Amino acid sequence: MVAFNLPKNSKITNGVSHKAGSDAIRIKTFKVYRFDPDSGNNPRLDSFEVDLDKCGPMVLDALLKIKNEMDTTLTFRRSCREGVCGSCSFNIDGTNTLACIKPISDVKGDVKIYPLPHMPVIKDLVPDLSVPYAQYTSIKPWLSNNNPDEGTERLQSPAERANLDGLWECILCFCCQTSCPSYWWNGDRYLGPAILLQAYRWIVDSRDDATEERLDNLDDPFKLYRCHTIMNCTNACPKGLNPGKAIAEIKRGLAKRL
Amino acid sequence: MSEIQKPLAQASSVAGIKQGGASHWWGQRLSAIVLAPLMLWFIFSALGLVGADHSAFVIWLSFPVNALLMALMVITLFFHSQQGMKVIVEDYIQNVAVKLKTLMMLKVFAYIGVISSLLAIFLLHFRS
Amino acid sequence: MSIEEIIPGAKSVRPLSPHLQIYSPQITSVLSILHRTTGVALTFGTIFLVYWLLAAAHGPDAFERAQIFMGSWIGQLVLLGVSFSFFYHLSNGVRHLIWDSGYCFELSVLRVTGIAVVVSAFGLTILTWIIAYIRAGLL
Ligand code: HEM
Ligand code: HEM
Ligand code: SF4
Ligand code: SF4
Ligand code: FES
Repeated sequence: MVAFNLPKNSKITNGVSHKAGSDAIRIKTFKVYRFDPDSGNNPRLDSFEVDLDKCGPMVLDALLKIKNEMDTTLTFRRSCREGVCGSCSFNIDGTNTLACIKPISDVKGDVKIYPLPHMPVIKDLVPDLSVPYAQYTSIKPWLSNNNPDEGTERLQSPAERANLDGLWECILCFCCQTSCPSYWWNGDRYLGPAILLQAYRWIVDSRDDATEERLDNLDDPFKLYRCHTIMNCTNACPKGLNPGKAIAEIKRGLAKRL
Repeated sequence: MSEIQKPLAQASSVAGIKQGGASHWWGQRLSAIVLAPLMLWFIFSALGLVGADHSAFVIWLSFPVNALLMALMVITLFFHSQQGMKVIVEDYIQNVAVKLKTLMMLKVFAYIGVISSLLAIFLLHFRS
Repeated sequence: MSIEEIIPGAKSVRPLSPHLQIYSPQITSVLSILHRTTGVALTFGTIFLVYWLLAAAHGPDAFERAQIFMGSWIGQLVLLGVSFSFFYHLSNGVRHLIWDSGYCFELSVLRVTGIAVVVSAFGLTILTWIIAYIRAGLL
């Protein structure tokens, strides 16, 4: 059976509490998943009281404040702080999203922050993304054209270019990928919504000549058809994209070839 | 091939799953489309048979239309249900031996269901 | 180079991040697992259909016993479960078929069709039972 419970070494224990300064008026508590690979201990949930009057508006601002002022060992990925790099994806307040564009004021009560779900954790909020990256490689995310030496631009009509809208904007943050229960249970063989959206991005590209091979590669009970249209993916995408619809389009493309 | 790519190499050779995905998916949709009106017709008919005795039921099934639609419904029903249960088993059972055994049992269940239902419909239809 | 070569044992010490334990139930995932649950319930429900048909084929006495069982409180409870499962699975099944045709994927529409499926499942179940009880002379 698929394991619905956490393994013994992954059960979360109670962690350390950090208090805000005595002059703080607007206090928000952040509960943050911690895992120290050098300690040999189980993961724990630390709690940090943050003075909102001395903190920026987004969840990432609070994480940076905690790291700068309360516990410098807190480890997480971030870069652009404006929702374009896809680094700061966590499970915040029960759903996956980007910390840098998630307002603290959106969260009622304590702000709970976990790593992306059902992933091996390297440290604190940093998951090991090797498998999704290998899966990304497997769909050959580059242009495959039979005439490589045209020496000019490969032109598209405005309509052909419009087919890529809603796909090219994907920043591979894996919020959708790790929100999908099907990916939780079969993530070693199911490609997942982020990778399938990328696969569709090349399938619909008018300049790409490998459409049939790309579809052949996806006609597989596990790579594609573990998607049961649960739609948690579309619900989660912080860029407002629709991986569920992209997957449905791939399935329609395959059905048309039968 | 690096270690992290190995799971991908295994993806297309999962024991017990030989079918290409598209045909199974299409079979599930087709059977669903056929099943929807048939099942609604059946429920409508069953409501007409509430409180009916045996002879009323036999008379109902003696109409060729009713017997034919019942047979069609039963076949589609067990096909659709077996295909659907297969997906669920593939999702949750990872031990290959257990998976194959469960899939086999599902198939046997569906065949027993179809054959005994068809037999009953056949016998009842030609009784009157 | 693999992770194991850099940090021996790294894979085995890595904990799995929490998933079901912490993910908020979404209307999308709850309705989806209900589709699966009702599909399984209906699969078990086919046993009663087969029993009913076989009893009828066996003769009036066996059919009578089947009808009495279906009319008993436990039989009624099973039929209630099967009928609700059916109408939910049917309604959401139609929603699936609409998706499979490429429509109704927008987040706002997703919520509306989800609510419509639940309303339709309850409505059709209640309607069916009212008709059945009127026909049985109990209403
Ligand atoms: C009456 C009309 C029905 C329609 C329109 C319908 C439609 C569907 C559809 C579209 C699916 C695919 C779900 C997916 O891809 O994840 C499905 C799955 C399934 N159906 Fe039906 N179905 C109907 C009736 C039935 C009946 C009567 C049964 C059982 C006796 C049944 C059993 C199943 C099962 C077991 C699954 C697999 C569920 C899963 O993977 O979670 N269906 N159905
Ligand atoms: C006794 C009757 C039925 C049983 C036992 C049954 C069972 C199931 C099961 C187990 C599934 C698996 C769903 C999945 O793949 O995730 C399923 C899926 C489905 N069923 Fe049924 N079903 C029945 C009747 C119907 C009917 C009457 C319809 C449509 C009118 C229907 C439509 C669907 C659809 C559309 C799916 C695909 C949903 C999905 O992909 O998740 N089913 N059914
Ligand atoms: S639609 Fe559902 S099953 Fe498919 S990828 Fe999205 S969350 Fe996963
Ligand atoms: S589709 Fe959205 S959620 Fe998924 S990886 Fe791309 S940007 Fe992130
Ligand atoms: S820091 Fe780049 S997306 Fe959040």
